[in-house]
Amino acid sequence: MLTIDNKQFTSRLMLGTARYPSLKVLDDALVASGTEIVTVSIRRVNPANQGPGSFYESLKRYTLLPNTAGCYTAKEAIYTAQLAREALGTHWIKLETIGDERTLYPAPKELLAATKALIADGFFVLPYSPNDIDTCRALVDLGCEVVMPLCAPIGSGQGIVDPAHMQKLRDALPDTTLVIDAGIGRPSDVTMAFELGYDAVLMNTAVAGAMSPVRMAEAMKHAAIAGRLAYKSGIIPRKQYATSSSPLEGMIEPHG
Amino acid sequence: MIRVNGDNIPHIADETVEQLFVRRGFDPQQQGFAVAINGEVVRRSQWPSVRLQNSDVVDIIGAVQGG
Repeated sequence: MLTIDNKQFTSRLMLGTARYPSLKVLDDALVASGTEIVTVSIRRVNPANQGPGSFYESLKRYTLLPNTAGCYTAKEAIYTAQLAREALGTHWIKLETIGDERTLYPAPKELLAATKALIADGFFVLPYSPNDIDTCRALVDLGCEVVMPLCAPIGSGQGIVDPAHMQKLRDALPDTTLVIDAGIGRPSDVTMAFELGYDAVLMNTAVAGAMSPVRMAEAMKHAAIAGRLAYKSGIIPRKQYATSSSPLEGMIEPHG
Repeated sequence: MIRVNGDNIPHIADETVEQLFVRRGFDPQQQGFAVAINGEVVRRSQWPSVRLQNSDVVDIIGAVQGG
């Protein structure tokens, strides 16, 4: 079980809700993935479009994780978080402060400032974070129970480009709930994240952008289960040379 | 004038947030959105009592698809 903020979850996948071809495909993909936590953005809306059958109504059965996507500064992110809390009745916030337009890498200074202010204001902050150990540890020191480092740029689908580094980050923060957020492209990336010991994976484009989002969501579900099971089973260490798996005793010798 | 989600509309003296919603054709009981005036969140419980001033900037926000 995955525990976040004293709530328990069976699924270790979190899914974004953007870029799906339709609300129906989104709905079916979320079900196929088995996810219980979904992210949403906060924008100006016309409340007349928020009734039955709306996006918001269709997601009510999930734990909603509002994000501050599109915010560059702590000030913008804090304002968005406050509106999200009022609109959705949750104190969870996926905190994003973008530092660079092309890579969408986070701005650590703004991220840390916003985290500090939001935690003081009673929020449960899940920060979208750079994957350097120093920033992730600083977020933990500010009181984050969950930290969500990227493994590659948002929407890039590059996957875990530096597994050795992501392993070191995992080892550096053994008591923190670490979620790989951003960069996932394929099920093998998800499996690797769990093999490395990560607690959960958050993805959006990898599912929404697939030819069949619903089938890809199901593939991701199985990938997560396989990776987590492998991690809990104790993966054998890599070795330079062969070790025979068949017994050498009782070998048959030719006559003559 | 007041500015609501980027649109300028006439200011009506003593209009509350709740009354603004009705004027705009929104059901104030609808769940899932929030209001801020001049960058300050107005709690739902205050919608019937907070009155809009001329040149106020009102943001009405809700959840949309996001990653």
